[in-house]
Amino acid sequence: MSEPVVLGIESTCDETAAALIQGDRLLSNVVASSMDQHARYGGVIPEIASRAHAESFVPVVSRAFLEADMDLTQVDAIAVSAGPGLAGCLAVGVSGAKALAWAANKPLYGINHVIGHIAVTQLQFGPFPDDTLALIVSGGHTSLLHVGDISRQVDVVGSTLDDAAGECFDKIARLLGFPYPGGPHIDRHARLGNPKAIQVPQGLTKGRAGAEHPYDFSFSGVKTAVARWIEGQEAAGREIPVDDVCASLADSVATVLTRKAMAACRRFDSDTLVVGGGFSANSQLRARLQEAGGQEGIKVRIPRIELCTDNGAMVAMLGVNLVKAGIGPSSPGFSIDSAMPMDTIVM
Amino acid sequence: MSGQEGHGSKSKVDESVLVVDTSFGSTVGMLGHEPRVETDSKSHVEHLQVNIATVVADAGLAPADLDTIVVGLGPAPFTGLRAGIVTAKALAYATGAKLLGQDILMPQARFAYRQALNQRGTTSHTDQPDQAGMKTRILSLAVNDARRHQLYFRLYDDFGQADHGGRPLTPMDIDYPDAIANRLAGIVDEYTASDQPVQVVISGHGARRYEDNWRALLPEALVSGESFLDSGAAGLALMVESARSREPDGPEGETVEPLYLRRPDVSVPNPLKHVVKS
Ligand SMILES: [Zn+2]
Repeated sequence: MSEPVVLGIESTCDETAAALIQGDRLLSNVVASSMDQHARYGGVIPEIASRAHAESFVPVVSRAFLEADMDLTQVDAIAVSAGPGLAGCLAVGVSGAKALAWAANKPLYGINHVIGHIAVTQLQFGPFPDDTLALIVSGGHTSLLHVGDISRQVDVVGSTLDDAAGECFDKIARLLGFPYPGGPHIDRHARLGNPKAIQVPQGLTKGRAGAEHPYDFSFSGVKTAVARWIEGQEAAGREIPVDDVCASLADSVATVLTRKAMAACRRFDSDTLVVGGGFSANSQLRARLQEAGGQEGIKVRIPRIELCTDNGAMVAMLGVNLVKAGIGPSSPGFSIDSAMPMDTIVM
Repeated sequence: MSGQEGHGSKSKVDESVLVVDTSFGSTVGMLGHEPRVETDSKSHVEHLQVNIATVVADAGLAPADLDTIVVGLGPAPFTGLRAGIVTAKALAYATGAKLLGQDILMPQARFAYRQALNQRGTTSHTDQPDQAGMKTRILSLAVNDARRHQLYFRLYDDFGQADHGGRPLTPMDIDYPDAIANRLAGIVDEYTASDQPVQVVISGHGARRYEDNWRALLPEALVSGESFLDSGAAGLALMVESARSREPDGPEGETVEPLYLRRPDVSVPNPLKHVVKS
């Protein structure tokens, strides 16, 4: 039997995306972003993103088929992100996907976007060994997950108790006056600065809180501490060493993420860590994880940048896993779930 | 009611036409059949496609049999409206059916106009001059509930002589009922000042809710909260008839996009700090 062909559709935030995958072969991967429209507001505006999804849905899907030189009749299944994400955005992708699935008489899977971030690493690194650990880091999520079986069993090991790592970067970027999205600016300045220049707190790493939450994260204190420090410098009439602030911030966040991810790998006796989500494009984090993995004998699988950010391939790849595992499709009346739990793989 | 009463309909009996509208709750149906109507506008993601599957199957058809899809473009609140339009676009893409968009205010105005004529026991306003020899003009204000105490609206004239769409007297817009009533009263005054008797009909979802606002300035207005889409197969026929009367001849057709009429709620934030000079 030939490998299943799956169309994956993504619309959880500001990217409308569609991709076709056969087995573990990426046939096409089309992404339309409304990022530019949000820049002046300093963050994603749900209504603007939703309008953009509605405009882009059919053009993006048809382009994915065009680039793969295929049509809808040739797919074995369709997968769509049903959550977590912005409700108005999810509603567009899921409504459109349901229409396609009915019109072409194809099974439809409403999948968990976050699990898609894990699945997509298979495109580059192949199937998961047993007891794979996953670190998901983005503007909306910071989680450590244990992957028993990507199609059936994913468990939450730890997650952020407040802000996501990417959110923390965005907030400090605003503080520093960088245009949105600020992550890449911090990344660039961080390379030029001294990572030990200022003291940035590392949440839930020490004392009782650290012992009680060995795999959880907290980044809300980071923003407050950096903001206070900047205020203090300004009050004293000193210039803000932007490069040093960025370097110290990036170093602190990368250190916490890396330390906790390695601890979780040890705890689950896992020799493989997969990394996904938009924030895994951060160069300090990538370097730190690879370095620690090398020291600890843990293979760290960080996909190339275009597979880290939101895309249709991650959705299609999880769909391929579900089809091959013989998991039944979602019911025609399935809902979106903007707060979908991390251990829900498919609706 | 039957689906045959559309005036001047060019419908071919053997053509399969699906109507999808999510301007208020949702209405889906095949031309010539009774539609499925849902009043809840929060369950489109769950129910809309299931209802479409049901009405197509009930008509003894498969997706590939669809020739034309007519989709309601609003004006309407955002999320539900979008679900219907993206659904219709995806269906048209997947089945190859022709896609026509139709705003819901024009068929609503036609519907109300016909209701007003029926109420007067006549079929055309041209045959009944009043005592001064002037024919009463029917001005039809079509509205849809925009929430937040506002209405989407457009004012039309002269449906009696026009099978190809009424003459809009205002652009499509969104406003508070008092402001709309003011504008309408101003237009009515202009007509009466030139001795033209007019009958005002206000109809659609939300029309009744603001009855007091209308009455204050337009005491004689006929007010009906009924949407044309509440009238079963006849409502579908009116929607299709309206879409066809505006159908462009060109091969690319027109763009089928939602009529939001309201900007997203956003404000440009003040940057907290300007540490970086560049
Ligand atoms: Zn994501």
